[in-house]
Amino acid sequence: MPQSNKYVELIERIIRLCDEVIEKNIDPFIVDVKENLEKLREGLFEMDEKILVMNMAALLKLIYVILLQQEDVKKRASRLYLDPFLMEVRLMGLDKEKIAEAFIKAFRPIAENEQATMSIMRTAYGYWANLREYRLPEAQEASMPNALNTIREILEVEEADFENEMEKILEEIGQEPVEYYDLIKRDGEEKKVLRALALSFLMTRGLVSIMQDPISEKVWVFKTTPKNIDKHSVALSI
Amino acid sequence: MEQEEKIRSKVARAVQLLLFKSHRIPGVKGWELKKNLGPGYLSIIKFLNTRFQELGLTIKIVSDDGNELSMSDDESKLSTARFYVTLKDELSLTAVKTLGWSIDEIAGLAVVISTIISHKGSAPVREVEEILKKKFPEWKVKLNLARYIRRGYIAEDGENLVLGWRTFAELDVEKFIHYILSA
Repeated sequence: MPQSNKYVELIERIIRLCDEVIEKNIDPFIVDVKENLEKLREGLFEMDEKILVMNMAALLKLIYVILLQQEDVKKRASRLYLDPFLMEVRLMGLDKEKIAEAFIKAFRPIAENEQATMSIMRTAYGYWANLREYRLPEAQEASMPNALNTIREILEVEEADFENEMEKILEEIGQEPVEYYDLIKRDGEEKKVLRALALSFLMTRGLVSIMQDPISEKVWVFKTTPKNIDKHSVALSI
Repeated sequence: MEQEEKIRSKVARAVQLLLFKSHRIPGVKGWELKKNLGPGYLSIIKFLNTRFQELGLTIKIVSDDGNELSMSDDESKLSTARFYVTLKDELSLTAVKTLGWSIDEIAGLAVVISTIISHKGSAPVREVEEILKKKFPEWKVKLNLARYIRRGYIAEDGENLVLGWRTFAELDVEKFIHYILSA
């Protein structure tokens, strides 16, 4: 192998290593700057103009890596640098209340008020326009005034209680599909609307999906993972 | 008198801009305030801040890279920064629960944020999930992570999790880490 090819290969290897560190944001200390500088210095007098330019490019990359190493040292020296393992040990040693208290001491929530924006109105229109209805025989039994009263009661339910109801339903579904009406009526007529609403939220979050059997007209509810859902809207009678 | 009326209407407009959400993210950018209130917008914001503080609120300015700015900072920095109204003082655990948070959710978020910080601002999703599973029921882990992402506390960056805009707006990260270490 000619001597110049050996240098080209060496310089390219150094540039590749530096690029890896710079682009992928990995630990800059994997580059041994001293050793690589010595390699670049070797045979400097034997290099032609083209290889010297490459050598200079590699030198610039090494300077950038030194800069990254300097930043890393600064970060490690600051109060915010923590070793992931030590942090995990610390968190495992604290109970949930203590962790929550530490969070709340530094937590200042934003004061904000929701209002209908054009984008929300557009999303709402899209939702209603794409709504598909499943007709179910039991739907005729529901009386409208009663349903409205129940909805009024639900609106007063605390968000945390609503989340608890969602968690409860998710646990009840288990691994096997459950029949829709069986599931929402499980806690009696009074909680039927609340449970149907909580179930719809679980479906929106992609944690639950439904499947309709066109022969028996039964609707089955089953667990899913958020990434498996396709986006569509479904109307189910309560 | 006319001048006074003008200022009053600008203060009212500033309140609307700061408190009413008109984008996906609450708060308002510096340039939007300038466009609506005029070049002297900072005087209006300073005045409003003193009134907000009497009510236990404060105006917080956060730059695009998540740093907190002050009203005396450079105009060009303030122009692209976001202005929020946040609570001025600490909340009690009971008060946080009335905001719809359970202890598990708060503690879970604290674990996620401290894990991300300890990974220099970007932690693999799988690693965060593994740590959460040691502290919370498995079925709750994905549910809570999805909730934190939806609310803007964390964000997905490929296979990693990073801090979201809401964490920078609502949490004093340095103090939080200090409290975790000294708890």
